[in-house]
Amino acid sequence: MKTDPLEDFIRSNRDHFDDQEPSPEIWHRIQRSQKQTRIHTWRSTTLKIAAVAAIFTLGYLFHVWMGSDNQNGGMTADHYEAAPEYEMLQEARIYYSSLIAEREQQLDKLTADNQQLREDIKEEFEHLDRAYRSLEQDLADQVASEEVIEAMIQHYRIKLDVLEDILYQIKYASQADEEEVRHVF
Amino acid sequence: MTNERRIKLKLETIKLDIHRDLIEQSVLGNQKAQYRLYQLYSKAMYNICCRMMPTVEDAEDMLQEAFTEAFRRLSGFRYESTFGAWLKRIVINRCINELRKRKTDLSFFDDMQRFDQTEEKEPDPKGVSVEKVKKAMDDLPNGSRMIFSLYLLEGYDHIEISEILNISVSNSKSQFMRARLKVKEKLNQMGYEN
Repeated sequence: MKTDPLEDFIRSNRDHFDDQEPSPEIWHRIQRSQKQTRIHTWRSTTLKIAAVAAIFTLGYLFHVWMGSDNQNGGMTADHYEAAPEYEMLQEARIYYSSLIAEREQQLDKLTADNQQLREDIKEEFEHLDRAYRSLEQDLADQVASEEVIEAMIQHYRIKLDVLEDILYQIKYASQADEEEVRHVF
Repeated sequence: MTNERRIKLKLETIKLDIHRDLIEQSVLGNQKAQYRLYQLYSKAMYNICCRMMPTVEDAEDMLQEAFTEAFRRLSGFRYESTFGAWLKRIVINRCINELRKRKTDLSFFDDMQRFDQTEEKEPDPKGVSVEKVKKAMDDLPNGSRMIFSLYLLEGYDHIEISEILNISVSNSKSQFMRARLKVKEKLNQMGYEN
């Protein structure tokens, strides 16, 4: 195949065409914009918790209202304990509780020297747990339904998800800070 | 497949494997690994930005934004191409999107007839240098210069270029031919001047 002399020249001297050097400042700018992204993600997590708590609260109010309508027709606690959904809840509780406990231990270790952060996280999770306790109350009050049990299982999933999200961000932030101290670029 | 091509492919695979560790560490947020990736690729990517954007400041902004985006999306990198090819596409898309956002029209050659009638005269190889080629490229309309660069310097084919710039494949080919002719004309002219 016939080749073009100019194309050949450019291809054989390809590396010489990259003769501009980026300013060292650009790396610092990248680091700064990554930090902003992390702060943004942290805020998103907080918002996610708030949204989940709101959904649980609404769900709770809905079921209280439904319960008041069906008080005479509702199932007894014994019936519930025998229902497959209840069994599913028990299984989910065992499964997720151990995973959540493990993540909470990790979080405890990672935040050992940051009391403020620990309190902030605790406060955020209290919203979630409060909503969960309301659902538990529903179950005990026999106003529970399949949806309540599903919401309770969902609670575990979300809590685990949020915990993993926070753990990742803390690990990421501490690693980044460590690197920043160690390296003066 | 030629031996040279085989060796090149093998080298690409080795290169990909070496970077896998750096990429995985970067996904976990290891800044040292991220900085190493930046060191390895920033110069090449910056030069692409310089060729695509009108000013040095724009090129710097694009480099920063492209790396920030790449680190954010790194967990989605599936090793289906080399990291460099993946990153290069992010850089080019960033530049194109920015130009579109600013409503910067890409200009192309439109005096087709003149080119059809012009005989392609090869410049004297002794008088050709990288500096002169770069200078000759500067005189091309921005869209045609991009096609010329994407094809010859970044290694894209005309199908890929047509997708990147949202033009037809035949337009990419004809603009490239005209750009090449124009660069040669300019090189000949510069040869006489020297």
